Amino acid sequence: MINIPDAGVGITYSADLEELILAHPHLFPVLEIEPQTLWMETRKAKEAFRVFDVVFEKIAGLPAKKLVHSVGAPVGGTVLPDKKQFKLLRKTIDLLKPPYISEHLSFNATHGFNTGFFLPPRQTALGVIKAAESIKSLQDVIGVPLAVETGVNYFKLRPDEMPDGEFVAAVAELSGCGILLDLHNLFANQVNGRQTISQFLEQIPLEDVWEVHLAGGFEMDGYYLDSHSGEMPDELFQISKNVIARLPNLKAIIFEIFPSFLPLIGMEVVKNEMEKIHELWKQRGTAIKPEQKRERINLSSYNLDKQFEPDDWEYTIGKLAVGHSLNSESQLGFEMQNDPAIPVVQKLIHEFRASMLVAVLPLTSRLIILSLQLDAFMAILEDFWNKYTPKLYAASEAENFIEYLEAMDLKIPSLQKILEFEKSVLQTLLDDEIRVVKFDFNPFPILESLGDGKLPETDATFGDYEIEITPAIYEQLSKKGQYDFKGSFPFH
Amino acid sequence: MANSPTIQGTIRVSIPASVASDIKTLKRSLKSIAEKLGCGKCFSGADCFFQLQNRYLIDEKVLISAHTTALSDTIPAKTSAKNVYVNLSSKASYNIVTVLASIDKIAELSGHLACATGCNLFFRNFVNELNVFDVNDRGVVSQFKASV
Repeated sequence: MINIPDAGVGITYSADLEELILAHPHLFPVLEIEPQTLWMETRKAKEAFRVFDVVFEKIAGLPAKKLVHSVGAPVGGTVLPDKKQFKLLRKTIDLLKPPYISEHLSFNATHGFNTGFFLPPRQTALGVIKAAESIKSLQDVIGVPLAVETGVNYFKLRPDEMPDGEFVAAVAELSGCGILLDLHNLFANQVNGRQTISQFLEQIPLEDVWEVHLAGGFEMDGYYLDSHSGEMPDELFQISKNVIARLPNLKAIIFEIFPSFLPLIGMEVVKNEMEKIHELWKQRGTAIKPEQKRERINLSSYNLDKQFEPDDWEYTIGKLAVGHSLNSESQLGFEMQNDPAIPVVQKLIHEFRASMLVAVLPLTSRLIILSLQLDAFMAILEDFWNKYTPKLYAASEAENFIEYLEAMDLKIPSLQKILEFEKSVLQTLLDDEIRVVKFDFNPFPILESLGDGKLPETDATFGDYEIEITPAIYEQLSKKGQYDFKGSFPFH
Repeated sequence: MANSPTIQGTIRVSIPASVASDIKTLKRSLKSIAEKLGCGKCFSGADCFFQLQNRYLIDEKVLISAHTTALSDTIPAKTSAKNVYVNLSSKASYNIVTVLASIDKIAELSGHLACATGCNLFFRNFVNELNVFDVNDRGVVSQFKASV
């Protein structure tokens, strides 16, 4: 048994929550940091990711214990965790000093392309072995224990799959990792008809559960989504009371909320949810049943790998999920393309991809939408998605979209210059090089109009204008040590 | 494009990438310069700019102040006696507001959208901010007919 200290109750960190966290520190004794959300992919061999130290240093200084929840090196597939991330993960661990870290028992990349979305692993004996290999490769470099998160799975349970709980139990046994029990994921699986939470719990070693995730979701196209969109359902809260009481080694409960939903639900909802989770924390381990000897899962009893191997599963599911065509002779593809969850997953991936693009290229996106209407912009995105597989990081996804738009040469006035401007901004953020964008018209009226969400009311005037993009000021601040958080936070 | 009088000389505005990448701070910066130069509404440029011979600094609160020293001369503007430089930058008294705002933007740029197993509302919110149909109704779109 690995000895891990208690962490407590917390929330997935985002800057949008900071005011609430600082106003009510007693509700947030733990912050769970998703390090990859603070990295930018550069595509450079030497420095694959750009990290702003000032941001991590500020988070390290926040008055709460820190846990690290990795979201970019999943361990459920045959593609091993990305080695390029190891150095930064270690640096994050050294800085934030979590007692353990967690990752997803899912995959987001095949041997040919990224999926841009966590997808369920191949739940067979060979899938267990591959996941354990992947976990080991990550464990070997992080220097702290690793827990794997139980995933959501929108697809129907196949007759050639291990049940979800048995798969997780087998992976934990073989790898020696802990379990991050995402009760909202299990709730989604239960609502969507895959496996009930109670069945799942009967199949896993409860003493290996170190952390619980809770969240809210909503229904879309007949599926309950793990959308982290607000209040946890009351039914989930009641189930959680019973489950948490049965966990003898629980170290943390984390509430997950996606920042996009905060303006809709308001901070008071988050505060209320945290108060409810503190109630749950008090229940931990209060109803532990007498220890029953669990039999280790015998992988050789699962003779399930005759047809489809894990990498075949990942390629096929990945292709279907990103909406690309498959070889017509693929038996697995033939079977899975009829799963009713495929269009739902495709839709979710498209939402994420569109969100990444408009976040990085807001002016370009606004100019196209305002000039051509939303339907035309959606058609452009569809064509882009058909031609380019997803990137895991928004900067890289945007670079692909820039390349696509440059080749497309849309005849929208000023578009190429607005695109060049945003491309330069992105590149300067990534490499700190100064760039100058030259205009033969006054660019400021259109920039200001697009900032207001409308097209300029008058035509642009001619003239020689240049916008010089200089390195990001927060990086300069970091280098010069000119930022000062002292006095900004109650516990400094 | 309108056939207005062409400006003699080049106008260069320097913007830190961290300001330019955030649509809110970029907007405030543009507005701030325009107001300082006395052309807040149309910000059409030339006449206002040529009354000035200084560079301008805008701090993290997007407050503008006159400045006579260049912050960055690594890429010189076109040579012209009438060149006007406007620098948007923070020089001193940085505070937490700047850094917090930057974190939001970094998260968007990194885009590793955390536990990506559900639905992201960012795109829908983005579209909802635009009054697309209103614009189309006014017929503005006809001026921007594109060939896809």
